Amino acid sequence: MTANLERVRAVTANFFFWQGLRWVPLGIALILLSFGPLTKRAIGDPWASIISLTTLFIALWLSTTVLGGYYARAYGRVQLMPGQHARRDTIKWLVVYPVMFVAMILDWRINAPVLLSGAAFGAGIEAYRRSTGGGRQHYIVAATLFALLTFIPTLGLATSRELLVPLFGVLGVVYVVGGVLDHRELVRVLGPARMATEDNGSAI
Amino acid sequence: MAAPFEAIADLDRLVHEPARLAVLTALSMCRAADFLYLQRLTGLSKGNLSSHLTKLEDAQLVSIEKEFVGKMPNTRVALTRSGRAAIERHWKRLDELRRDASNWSE
Repeated sequence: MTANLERVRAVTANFFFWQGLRWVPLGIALILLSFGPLTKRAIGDPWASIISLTTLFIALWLSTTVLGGYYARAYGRVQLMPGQHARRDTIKWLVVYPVMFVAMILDWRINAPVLLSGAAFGAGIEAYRRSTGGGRQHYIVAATLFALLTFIPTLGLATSRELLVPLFGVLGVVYVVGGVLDHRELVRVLGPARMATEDNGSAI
Repeated sequence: MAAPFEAIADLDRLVHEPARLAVLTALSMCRAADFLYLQRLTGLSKGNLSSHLTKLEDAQLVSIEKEFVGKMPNTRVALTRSGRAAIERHWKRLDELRRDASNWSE
């Protein structure tokens, strides 16, 4: 019972992040955007930029309005306490994102002998998993995959600069697969979706 | 240290009932949750969950507010201060019991 209640705690405190399907459109957008340089070569600017921006807006709309609404109707709403995740947010903005950003800059500017962004993204994914309720072993697989990508430049297959844009495509795949599996975990804890069509608490 | 049965019988039954414990545990991790979320979490029918929530409200462990989200009535449930203290006390007691249980067979 204790393990189940631990799951209840984890899901309730991180309900937003476990709404996995929300991440799928963003993942698809990332995959499409990783083809940006090819699109640019094929159709040129400004059309390539317009397509990229439109893709991003559609993904955000699907994620927030469409899928956010779906989760609210199917699973209800949870309001967090103010500052409940302040520590996580602080670490995210002051450590994780800056490290990822610096790694990308180094890969781009000095064409590092290893793909620093691979290690940084891997660490970021593991930090995300731990700080949003743990469990979900699929993120350990994803973090390991990114860590392994770090060494691709040493094999002479591509330079770290060349790998930087495709890395976003891989991140997009992680968003899609991770999102679907997160949704599956949510369904395990909360049961299959049933849409609320009336006052959800009328019996009280 | 209390005898095993005494220790377990001493638990607050209002809080320890499985569905109510799940509801209170979930509410301890947030400011408020709506009825639908608690229903999905516990798998209870509307009537059954309502009955549990009424018991918790009568004991002043939760507060229940009705409001409208768009055109849809929505029931929001939150722990009261005494509810938060009760569930924290209960979890502490369960942890103590778990620790003590390792000595019961000796």
